[in-house]
Amino acid sequence: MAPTEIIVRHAPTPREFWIGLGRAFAGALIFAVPVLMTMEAWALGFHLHPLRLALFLAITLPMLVLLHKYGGFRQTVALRDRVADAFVAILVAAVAATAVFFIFGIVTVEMPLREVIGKIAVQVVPGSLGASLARAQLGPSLLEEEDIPEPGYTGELFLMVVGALFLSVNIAPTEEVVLIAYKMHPWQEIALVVVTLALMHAFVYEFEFRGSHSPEPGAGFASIFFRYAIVGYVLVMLVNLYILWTFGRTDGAGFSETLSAVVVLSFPGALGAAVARLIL
Amino acid sequence: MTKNPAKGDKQQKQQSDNKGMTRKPGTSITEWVVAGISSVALLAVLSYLVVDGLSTRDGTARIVVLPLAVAATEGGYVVEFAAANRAGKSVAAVEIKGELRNGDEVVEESSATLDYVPQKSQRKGALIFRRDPEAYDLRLFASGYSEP
Repeated sequence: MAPTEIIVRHAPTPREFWIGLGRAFAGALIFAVPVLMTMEAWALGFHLHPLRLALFLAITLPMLVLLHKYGGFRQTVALRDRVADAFVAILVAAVAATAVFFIFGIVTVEMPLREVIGKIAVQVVPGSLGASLARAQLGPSLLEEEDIPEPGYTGELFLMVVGALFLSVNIAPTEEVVLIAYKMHPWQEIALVVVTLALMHAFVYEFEFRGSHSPEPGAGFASIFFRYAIVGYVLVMLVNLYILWTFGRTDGAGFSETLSAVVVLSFPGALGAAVARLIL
Repeated sequence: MTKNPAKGDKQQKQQSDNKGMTRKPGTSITEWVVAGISSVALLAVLSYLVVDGLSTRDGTARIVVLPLAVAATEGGYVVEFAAANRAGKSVAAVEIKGELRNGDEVVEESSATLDYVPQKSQRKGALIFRRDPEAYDLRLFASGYSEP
């Protein structure tokens, strides 16, 4: 066990477990509902490349394990517990998505298994993130505040990536992303990059570093801008490129068109990354 | 707020535990290297967009449709095609038509619609004919599009 791991004080009582599970379901539903009710996300179920989908899910698991270090739906602690919680989050998200899809009539028993699995798997990523964030969002922390490790620089960047992934995954399946990209002239794209970067910096600098979450008291403007806003934005673009690739949006598209879509998707992505520390 | 200084101390301690070394607030060489690489990447993106913005864009799309493969199925002969847009202008609702010709006579027609064909990109689709395209002269072309 690494020195920074927290020692568990007690295992959750059955009541705490059920409350935690209930919160996880609530979180999964709240965070996945925009994707659950997006037509393009249903279609992804059958035209998404199976191996890309598998990779996407495979990446989700270690991400959740890492995320649980900074907050989960119960007071988790040792690596073993965090792995277990990550699996629970994924299961909760899958069950919630399946139930909602059956009620909506989007998934039926006659449907081929491949399509059903694809449709639900797409929902698992936002849903499991929501389930994991449920404690931070919906319930009081069971741990003393001091017991949750403050993320270091890499931790801050990781939370930014999760924030970006979370918001981008909600928006990436929609056709609007590519449609906006087609409509924008390169000058408008440059303006969008500048505005996004400015917003990101304003959010990070004004709300976090001068607010309650300041990881580096006394850090200057330039330091924050270069080490957080710019690095964060480039990470957001890489995350979005990966998401667009996973959803098959880059197939057959030229470099210019792919870059446009990445810049467009990075607008919500960067907002998610910038406020990640406030909501995660 | 009042406990911020104490929290700061604690977190510094934890960060130094994490990295196994003392971390000065604000600067570490690795962090500046990461920041430097990111700045270069961002400048590259912006430069590309500036160059793209300065280059003149074609006012019309140039769509070239090429057949890829023909497969005989129960539903007919499926001709897969790739529609490539060679111009710097994205178009929507692209109507792709295919004709089987015997000399000047059009024996059979078929059509498909592509939602989008972005600039300098290609999209794939298929046309279905009842007659074997191998036995005739196959022509594929785009017959229209709309602005997205």
